Amino acid sequence: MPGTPLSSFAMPHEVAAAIEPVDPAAQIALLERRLARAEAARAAAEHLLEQKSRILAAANTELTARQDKLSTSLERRTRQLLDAQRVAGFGTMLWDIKHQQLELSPQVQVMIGLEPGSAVKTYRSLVRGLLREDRRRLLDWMHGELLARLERDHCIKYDGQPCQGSPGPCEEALREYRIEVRCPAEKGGEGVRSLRIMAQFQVDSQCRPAMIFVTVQDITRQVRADNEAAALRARELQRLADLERLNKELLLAREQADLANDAKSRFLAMMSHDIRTPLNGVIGMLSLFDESTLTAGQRRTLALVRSSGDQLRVLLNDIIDLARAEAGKLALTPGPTNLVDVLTDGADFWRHLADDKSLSLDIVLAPDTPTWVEADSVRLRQLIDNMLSNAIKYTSEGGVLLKTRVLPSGWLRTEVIDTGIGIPAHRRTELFSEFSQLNLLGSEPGGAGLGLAICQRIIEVMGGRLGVDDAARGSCFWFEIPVVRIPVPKRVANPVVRSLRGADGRVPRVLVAEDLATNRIVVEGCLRKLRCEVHVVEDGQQALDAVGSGEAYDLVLMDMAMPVMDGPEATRRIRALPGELAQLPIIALTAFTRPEELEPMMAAGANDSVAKPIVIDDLYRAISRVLGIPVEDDVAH
Amino acid sequence: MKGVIIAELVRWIEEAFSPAVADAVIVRSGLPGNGVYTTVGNYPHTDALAMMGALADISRQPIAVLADSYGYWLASRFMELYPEMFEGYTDAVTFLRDVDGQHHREVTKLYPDARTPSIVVVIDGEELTVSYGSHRPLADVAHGLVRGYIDYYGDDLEVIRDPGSPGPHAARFLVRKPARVLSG
Amino acid sequence: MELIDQELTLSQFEALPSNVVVPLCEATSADLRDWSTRLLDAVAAQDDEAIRRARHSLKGLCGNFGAAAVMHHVDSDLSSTDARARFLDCVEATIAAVVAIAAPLVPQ
Repeated sequence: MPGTPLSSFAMPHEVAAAIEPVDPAAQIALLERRLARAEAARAAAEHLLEQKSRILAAANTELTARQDKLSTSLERRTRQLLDAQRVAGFGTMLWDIKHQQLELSPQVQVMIGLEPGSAVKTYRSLVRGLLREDRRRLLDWMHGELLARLERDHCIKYDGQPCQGSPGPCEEALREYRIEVRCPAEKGGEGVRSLRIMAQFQVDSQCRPAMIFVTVQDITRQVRADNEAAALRARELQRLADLERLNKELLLAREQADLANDAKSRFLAMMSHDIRTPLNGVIGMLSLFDESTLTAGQRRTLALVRSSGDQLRVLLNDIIDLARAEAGKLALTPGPTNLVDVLTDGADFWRHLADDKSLSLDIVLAPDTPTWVEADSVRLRQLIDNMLSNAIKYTSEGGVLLKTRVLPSGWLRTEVIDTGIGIPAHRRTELFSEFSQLNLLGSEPGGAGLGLAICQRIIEVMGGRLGVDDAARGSCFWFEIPVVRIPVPKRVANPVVRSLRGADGRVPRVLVAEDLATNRIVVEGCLRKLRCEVHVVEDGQQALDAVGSGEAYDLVLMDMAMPVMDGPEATRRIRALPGELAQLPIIALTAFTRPEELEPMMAAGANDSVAKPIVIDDLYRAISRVLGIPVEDDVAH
Repeated sequence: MKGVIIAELVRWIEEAFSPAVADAVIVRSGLPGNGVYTTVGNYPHTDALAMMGALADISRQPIAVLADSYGYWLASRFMELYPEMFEGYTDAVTFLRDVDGQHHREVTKLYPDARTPSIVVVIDGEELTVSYGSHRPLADVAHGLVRGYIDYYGDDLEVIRDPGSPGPHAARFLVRKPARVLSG
Repeated sequence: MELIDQELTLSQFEALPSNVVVPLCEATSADLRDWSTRLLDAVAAQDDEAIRRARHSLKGLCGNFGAAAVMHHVDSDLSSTDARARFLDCVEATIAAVVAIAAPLVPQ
């Protein structure tokens, strides 16, 4: 069927006969119908065309109005753009490559010193507007970058492949070429204007350069600011370098100072130890002076030597303490400490000095001050001594108050408040440094000023704080230390109370022979504490009589030297008694512990001995030994 | 439907058959417009279908054959009426490739109320597949049109209608060099 | 030189029943004075045995309280009037010291 000719549509005869008109009337009727249709179609077409013309005319009117509006708006926008360029300090150039035409916006003309609106045909006008030394640079840039680009038909993509000119700008077509140049700020003037020129190619659909669109930006201010910033930065870097150098020097100097200080500390500590030994000898010798043989003048001299010696000793001890602290060897030996005793003892110790200066010295202990704490009592006392002696030293009238209380944290705060001369706030930090003794108005020199430095170290080791505040008058030195309350300890001084009982549960009956009333009382007291029955006689004869009287004693305590009959004699006689009495255990009481001095008693037949002064524990052990009673160790602990 | 399609249909019937057949078709179709059509107007496509149906009755020819012949004839009429549409084309394949993308867009631009068929052309090697889709059942007319363009450009190509494609709203045509040429 | 060993003295008193504190103080005072006199007499009489005896007793007494000063005098040359006076002063001072330590322990 393809290519079927039109004539091939032959109608079957009977069909054609039925349709095709044969008589003239039918033919005329057909023609009339066709004519009428053609006529109607023409009228309809004309009507439609007329309608369309009207629509077109209306559209045309509207389009014209719109175009007017657009051109007005375009004009306004162009003006706005130029204004914006002037204000922003940038202008535009359009270089039509095809037609070799250069179009400069007024702002660019102003920048390069041309009259706005001058006819500029080539880029050479632009070049001539620049500083002489920048002209060559701009030309090189234009030939090297822009014209080189123009000589290529297609741009080269960044990967080095030629751009195929595919629709839309390729990457390189969007590339921006830029250079910065300078021109005179005004004609004949010395001022310089900096310009940044940025060029971009506008390409056709094959990526062929069609135009160069150039913006020229006045960057004078920016360049000036950059230059200033660079200068500022250079100055800052120089300053930084100076500071770093200075810092290095200071560090070195400090290192040297530290080394020197260490050496000094070691030297001091060593010297102090070496000095202390002979000093102790001197002070010891001084106490042996028989003052009654001295004249009044000599006595005054002796007193002065003694007090100087004491001061020297205190100072040496301070130095050694400090050296030890600096070497980190200051260690605490905490133990059960009666805090109230430490405080009151400290105050009592300094009371005579306060009295000498007619100063009051009071203690106020807050009710919650614990009596027993776990602490290093010696160091605690050292703190109190230092603070009290300083307070008294620097106070000439009024008094000193020692106060303690427990802080909410549980720490103990102790304050020593004086009515002395006070310490200016700006000099307080010096106070706690070594060898500083503030030369304060009205203060008396004395001491090396080591006390507070030592206190500082002690407090550090205790984990506390130390400081000074203003008091109503004078100063308030304080320290705060963590303390641990402990229950009242069993007093070490109290002898262990034990009772002596034989295997049968009976208490021992003891006979004591001692001529001195004092000793009799002491021995009897000890024996009674040990729950013994005691019978006391004053010499050997009485002892012998008592033993022979039939009284049943378990034991005799026999002094050696007694009137009438001494200890050895009485012992010998007892040993000579008949029966079991001769076996009576005898303990010698003697002031002498040398074996040869005990010899007469032991030779006479004494079983054991106890040295005077009598210590109850020794007595207990000796009696237990001779009576064969097991020793109860630590029963009371 | 654009008036040109239906106005040219009347003209084709007058030429291919006779003015009397055209008159009979119009009368028999009983169309409200009584066969008055201008190329600048718009008319319901059912008018064209009604006339085709009437023509088939009268001529005792299948509608598909008639429509194909009309399409073939219409291709040369388009060239007479709209020569600017064919400017720059030297072969049928390129023209057909641009039919939907450019010509129908042109039509739409000129006549915003025109509903053009969609033509999708896929070139695979030397073969061209034209897919026609329209709300109007005129796939046979399209077939004829394609044949007409190819003959006009004198290209040695054959047009094979994909028998699997459903008509008459849609059709797929394979345009390729005749097998005999390939084998020779 | 310390007159007495305060700690030792305190522990002596504390070790004893509290009712003997006063008698002990009195006995100590009496014994120290008595034996001091006896020593001086023995020195005056140049009775070596009596001197030895008195020295022994005084040292025993002093041992109870660590009375170093008196012990020191006991062994010294007591022939001069001055020495004797200083010895007796020392004895009195020691007695006073012992009593001072014991005083707080006396039951009210």
